[in-house]
Amino acid sequence: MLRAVVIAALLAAGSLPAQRQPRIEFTLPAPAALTKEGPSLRALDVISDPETQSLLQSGFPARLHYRVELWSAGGVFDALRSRAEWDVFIYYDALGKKYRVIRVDGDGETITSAGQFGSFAEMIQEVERPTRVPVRAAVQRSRQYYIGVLDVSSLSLTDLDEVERWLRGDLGKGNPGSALGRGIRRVFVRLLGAERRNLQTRSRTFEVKE
Amino acid sequence: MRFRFSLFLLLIWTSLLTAQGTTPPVEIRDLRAVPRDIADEAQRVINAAGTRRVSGDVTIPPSQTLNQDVAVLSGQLVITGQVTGNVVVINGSLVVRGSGRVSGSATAIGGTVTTVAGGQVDGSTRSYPEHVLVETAQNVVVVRDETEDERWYRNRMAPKEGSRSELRLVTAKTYNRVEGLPLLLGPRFFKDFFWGRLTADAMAVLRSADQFALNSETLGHMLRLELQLGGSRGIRIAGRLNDVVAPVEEWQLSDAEVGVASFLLHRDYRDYFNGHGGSISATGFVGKYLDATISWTDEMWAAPTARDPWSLIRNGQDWRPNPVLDEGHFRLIRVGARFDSRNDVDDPWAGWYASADYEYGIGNITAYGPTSRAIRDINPTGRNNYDRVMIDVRRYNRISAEGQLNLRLVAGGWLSGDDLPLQARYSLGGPGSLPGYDFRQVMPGTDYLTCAGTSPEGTPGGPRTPPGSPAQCERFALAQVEYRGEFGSGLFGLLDQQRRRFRLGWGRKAEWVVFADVGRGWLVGPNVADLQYSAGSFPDVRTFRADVGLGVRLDDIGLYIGKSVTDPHTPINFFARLQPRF
Repeated sequence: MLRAVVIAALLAAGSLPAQRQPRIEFTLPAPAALTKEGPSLRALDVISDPETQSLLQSGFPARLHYRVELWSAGGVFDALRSRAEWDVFIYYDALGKKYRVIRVDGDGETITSAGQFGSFAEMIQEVERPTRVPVRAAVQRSRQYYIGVLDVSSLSLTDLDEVERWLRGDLGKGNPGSALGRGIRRVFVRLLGAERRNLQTRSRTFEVKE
Repeated sequence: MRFRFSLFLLLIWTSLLTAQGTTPPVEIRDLRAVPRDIADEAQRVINAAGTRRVSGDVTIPPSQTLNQDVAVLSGQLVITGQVTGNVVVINGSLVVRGSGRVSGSATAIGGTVTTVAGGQVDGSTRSYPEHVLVETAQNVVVVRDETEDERWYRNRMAPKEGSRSELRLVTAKTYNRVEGLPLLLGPRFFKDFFWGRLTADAMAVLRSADQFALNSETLGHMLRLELQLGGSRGIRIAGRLNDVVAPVEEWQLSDAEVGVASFLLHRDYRDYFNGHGGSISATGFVGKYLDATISWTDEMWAAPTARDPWSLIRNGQDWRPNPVLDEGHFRLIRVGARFDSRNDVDDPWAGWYASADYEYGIGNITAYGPTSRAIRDINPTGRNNYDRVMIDVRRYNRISAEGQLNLRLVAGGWLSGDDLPLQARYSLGGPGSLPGYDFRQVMPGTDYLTCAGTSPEGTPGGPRTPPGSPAQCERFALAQVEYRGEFGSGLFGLLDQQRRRFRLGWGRKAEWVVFADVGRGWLVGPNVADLQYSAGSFPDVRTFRADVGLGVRLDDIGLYIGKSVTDPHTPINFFARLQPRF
């Protein structure tokens, strides 16, 4: 009986109505500017779900770790030319009732405030703003392309936090079946350490005209 | 009377005015924060033309005398010589030791000032523990206060010289047929210093296999004290006391994969023994790329009792028995090194991964676990000294924007001494090594996978291999190759659309995988019928088992089929992985 309930709940959670798909997208500069500036990278619908909003308001900051790599083709194997990494942290200031967004480069060497936002929607707008990546194409004949990777995680959300949230019923409202399913799935996945929220994208391949 | 009253009021008013004019406003400040005037004074000293300015850790030796001001940014200053001027340290600490002397004042912002063993500061000393931000523009240093966001980040993500303790409830990130779900409960304490970090854990292990019954078999412990010297490169010294259920052959599948397979499918791809004892270790590391470890372990090994934890599917079936492994007391010296230049640890597309581990064991076996016939010599005294090694070399190559070709060679085994205890033996077969063969499959005739013998007969009147089919090989070698590529946007783009529709994908394109593996295990000793080879020889390559397969990766989940090519009658195997195969 228990097995049937668990399977049904997992299936119910898996067949929820479709929502917008999280994604990241590159936009390359104009051909003449490829070696002067990097591409812009944009994350869409990555943390705009109600669950993330609930997590933020409960005091669990979100971390978006971006990595962009420039690869070149031409030899036997493609070569990694350069890379850039940075983080975007979003936390909720409960006293000021504001969402705060900060960008961190170079392992904490540069911390830049991207602003304070009174509403979740305004904060999402800021997070989804395209970012200019400081990785410029190399002057070379071989074809090149960018790889973008985004890891999304909620900070300090331990197994204990997750179990408490589940017991409090924070993991889903509305359809009790889907809430149960999501809860079981999330707790189960976290207990086994298999959770990983990762997005990848690749730009089109381009050549730099010398 | 009225005049006198008015005069009295006028005097009070005048005195109040006078008091307001002469008494400066009282500054109320955080005791840990740096007053602006102190920061300005420090800034003036740092930027003065005659100041000796240094970044990072510095020591002024007894033989050195500096007739100038000294400023150190982001580092520790140790003075055992003489400084005739003032000393300023920003985001670091000052130690004046022994014959060290500072004739002027000493100020540390973001650190402490300490005089030890006769060290002397003639002028005033000030220290403010709160970290400040230092910006340099055109060789001019500006000390400024942190913004709220910067303070949040530092406190939350990069605490320095802070301490924290917390009560933790975490899982061991696995699920197995001996423990069920192991939960770790207990306090953790860590304290950061300018020179590193001290971490202490005291965790009780609670096992769900017997409905969390409290007895010696379902309770364990894991105590750890770790001292890390350095930041991105340095040394880690650790001591541990354990009473845990330890796995055999961890190299094949990850903890999460073993846990999911056990919980969902009633398939446990590892064997276990109890390890009760302690260890000390020292690890040198350079970033995330290179590390080397030496450790000493003293442990009692015991065979755990089999249990019957719940699983989602096939819950009514019996679990594969946990083989009875050797019991006894062992001391182990381990030396290992690891080099990792992969561009992404979780999903690598380029780079090298290489690891080598050597283990020397000195022990006494009090109860030998059962094996297949003639697998090893039993020493009546139980004494068992051995050494073994294991290497794992992987190369990841992106061959195009969409595809990659990855190679792996992993091998290990006995080097010298007595026969290996069962805990230190190997097997092949199953999703983590040769997926064209079943896990712990005992082959008819010569068993190249678990080394269960050379003939189909077992012990007269008994089975060929002990219950649970333990790993019995003393050496093994395995080569793996795989070619991965993204599905195009044509027909297979439908796959991505379906994933999107059912929210099964997190943004990566679906990938196809083609793979091949070749490997085998063997025993060491006088040559016996393709199963046992002398220490200096290598098996004939024609005896190696090979398989091929293909699969689909949908984000983190890979679904594969594998088929043996060296044993055509072996059926096709279906398997899933939660991460790349290697």
